[in-house]
Amino acid sequence: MLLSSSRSEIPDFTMTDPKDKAGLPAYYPEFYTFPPFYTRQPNAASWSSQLSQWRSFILAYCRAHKLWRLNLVDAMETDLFYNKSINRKLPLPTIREIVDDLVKSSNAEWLSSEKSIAYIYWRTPEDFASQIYLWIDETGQKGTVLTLLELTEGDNTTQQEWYGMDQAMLVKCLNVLVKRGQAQVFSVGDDKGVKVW
Amino acid sequence: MAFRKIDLTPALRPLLLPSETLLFVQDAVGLYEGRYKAPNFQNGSAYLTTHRVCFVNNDEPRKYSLALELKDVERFELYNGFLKSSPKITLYLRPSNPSLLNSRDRSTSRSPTYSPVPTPPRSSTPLQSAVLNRQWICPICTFPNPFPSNFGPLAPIPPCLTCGVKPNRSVLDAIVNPPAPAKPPNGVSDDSILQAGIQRSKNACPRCTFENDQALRNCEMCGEVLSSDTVEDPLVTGTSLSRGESPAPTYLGNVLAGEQIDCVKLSFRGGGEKPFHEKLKGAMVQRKWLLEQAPTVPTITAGAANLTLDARESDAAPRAPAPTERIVGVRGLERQNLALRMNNQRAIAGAFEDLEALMSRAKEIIALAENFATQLADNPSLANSDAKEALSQSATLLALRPTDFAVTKDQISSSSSLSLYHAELARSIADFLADDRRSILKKEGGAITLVDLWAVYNRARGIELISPGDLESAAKLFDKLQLPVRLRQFKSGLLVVQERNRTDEKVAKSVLAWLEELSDVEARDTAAAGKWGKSVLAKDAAEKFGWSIAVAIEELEMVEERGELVRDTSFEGVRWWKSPWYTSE
Repeated sequence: MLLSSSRSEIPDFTMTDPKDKAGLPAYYPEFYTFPPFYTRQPNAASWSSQLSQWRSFILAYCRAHKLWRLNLVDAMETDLFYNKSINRKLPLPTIREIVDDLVKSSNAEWLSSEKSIAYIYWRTPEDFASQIYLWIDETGQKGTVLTLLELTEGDNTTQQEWYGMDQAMLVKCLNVLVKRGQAQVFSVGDDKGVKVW
Repeated sequence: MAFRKIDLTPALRPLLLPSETLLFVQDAVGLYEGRYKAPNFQNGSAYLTTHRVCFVNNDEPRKYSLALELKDVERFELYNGFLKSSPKITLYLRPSNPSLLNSRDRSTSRSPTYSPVPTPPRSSTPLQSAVLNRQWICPICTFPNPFPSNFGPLAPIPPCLTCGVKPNRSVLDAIVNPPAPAKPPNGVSDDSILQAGIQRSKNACPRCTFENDQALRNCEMCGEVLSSDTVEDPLVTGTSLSRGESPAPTYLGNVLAGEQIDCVKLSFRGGGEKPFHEKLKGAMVQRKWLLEQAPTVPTITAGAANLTLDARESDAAPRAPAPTERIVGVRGLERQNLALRMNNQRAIAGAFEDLEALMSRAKEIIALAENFATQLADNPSLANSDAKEALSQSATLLALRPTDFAVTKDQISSSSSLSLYHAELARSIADFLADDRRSILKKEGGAITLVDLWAVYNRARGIELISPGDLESAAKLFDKLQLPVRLRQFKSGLLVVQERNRTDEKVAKSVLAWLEELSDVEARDTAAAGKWGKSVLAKDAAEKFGWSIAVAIEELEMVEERGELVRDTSFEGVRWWKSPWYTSE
């Protein structure tokens, strides 16, 4: 029962707006105020529940805040891992463990082997790739060359989920399309362009 | 009846009488009745106490445990063993039951209507007692042979001791099912009722026809068993029953209950007969059992002799002089109290005069101390709580006296391995923990760390302290000996002794119920904050359940291990919460 509100890894986008009693957005899990939530539970069963809560919370938080990359040390001090009202903070090793788990399910990716910064994919690259393809198709831009900046920063894409996406991530998503044989990525000077057909 | 069934303590040791002390324990002992092995008593431990020799079977201790009163033992012999025959100690019993019928009757059922016959003079020797037993007369040479104790339908018939001729089976059968009570044949005797009356009262011997006194069970002339109408029926039924179910050549079940045993043998298969013999010798010389009947040590002043030291005793049997009894009301009570107090004073003064006196009066002084302790506990008027505590503590210290809990190494034969000592120690610890008067486990919330136990147990022993290593080895045997306590090792390696029936589930349940209860209170106070219930520290749990902190931490971690608690580590320590993620299958 307690798990139901945040069990799905990709919560509905509409959930961002309403606020619950505690004054927190709905994507905050109810465990946010539960002190043991901030301690890595040694019990395997408890930990797996705790882990799945944290996973979905991180994804939901990044989605709501349009966070593409997470600097763990910086994030520690944000609301994501630090509940000031009960004065509890998730320790860095535990955060790393959770992100590691996200990486395993390809919901995240370490930027480097130091494991201090991670891309957070609240949708998988395949999902994004499909969305981009669909959008290009719908807007009749098939066959035209678009710069990557146009895709992530352009006026036409402000309503799209990938708006503001990190360039490196976008390349990864487009590579999915390349692999499918639906797109081609090429460089124009410093800028990169993509052509979808 | 030589052997008596005995009560065992929860730890399966013989329950000792108040003044009885354990002298020696030897395992791997078998029991013989007369010359035959007792079937269910072949592998057990022999406990020698100041009063008894107890046998406790290893496999089914509750069923096959017996004790032989040392006061029934006339003499004993040591047999050193030869080749495959183990060393034995033979205990010759005092012929307390002169007649077979009498003992038989007891073996079947103690009929209240049957009045016991007077016992013969003490001077009777084993030889005499053998004569008193059943006999069969050789039809060839008329020699009265002893009746084979293993007689049964299948048993071989022994030859006559004199002429060596085996008798007809019917001769022996006739003994087992004796003919009708001896009366002169009707045809010969006069039919007059008067005559019959005389016959009855005269109790004629069926063999030599000597007219014995009615009270006698055996013929004065030839020693033949005199049959009696009153006891015949139970005898016959009793024998036929037991014969039927145990046709074993070695031994018959009901012999155990005391039939014509004149000696009992303890076979020491694992050695240890020599120290046992020594201790037995000592016990037989000391005759501690006589002390029970002996008058108690006279009180110091003759004037107060009629007042017992123990207040409870004096309540139970008021032997105060008549004039005080007549004074009733508050004055009477006051006076009684005053007299009691004076007597106590005298007792204490006398007891501490010298060591001898203290030792002889130790029991009374301890009783006094216990009395004081309870009085102190009840007395609200004692304002100085420090003094009260000190007093009651010293009183309880005195009360924590070494009794039957103290097993020492010299009580255990050196020949058997150290494990017997540890087993006995384990039993004694189990008894110690199970003792209701102390209720140590209860005070400790059902679990006591080995370290605490070591301290408490050694304090109770007072002397002859045990080493931590011995305690650990003993505690490890709890499971093997099926004692009511068990040793439990927590994840961290902490060793705890706890009651056997205290399972993890029960602990978890009580902890959760407690948390629930706490959060209920909390919820009523502030409805908003009650979402996650209330958390506790290990300290709180220790206080609530009477655990030591170490045990509390371990128990909480155990519940966590089950997934029913979650922890919250912060700078103030680890707080424990009821797990919202736990789902019971």
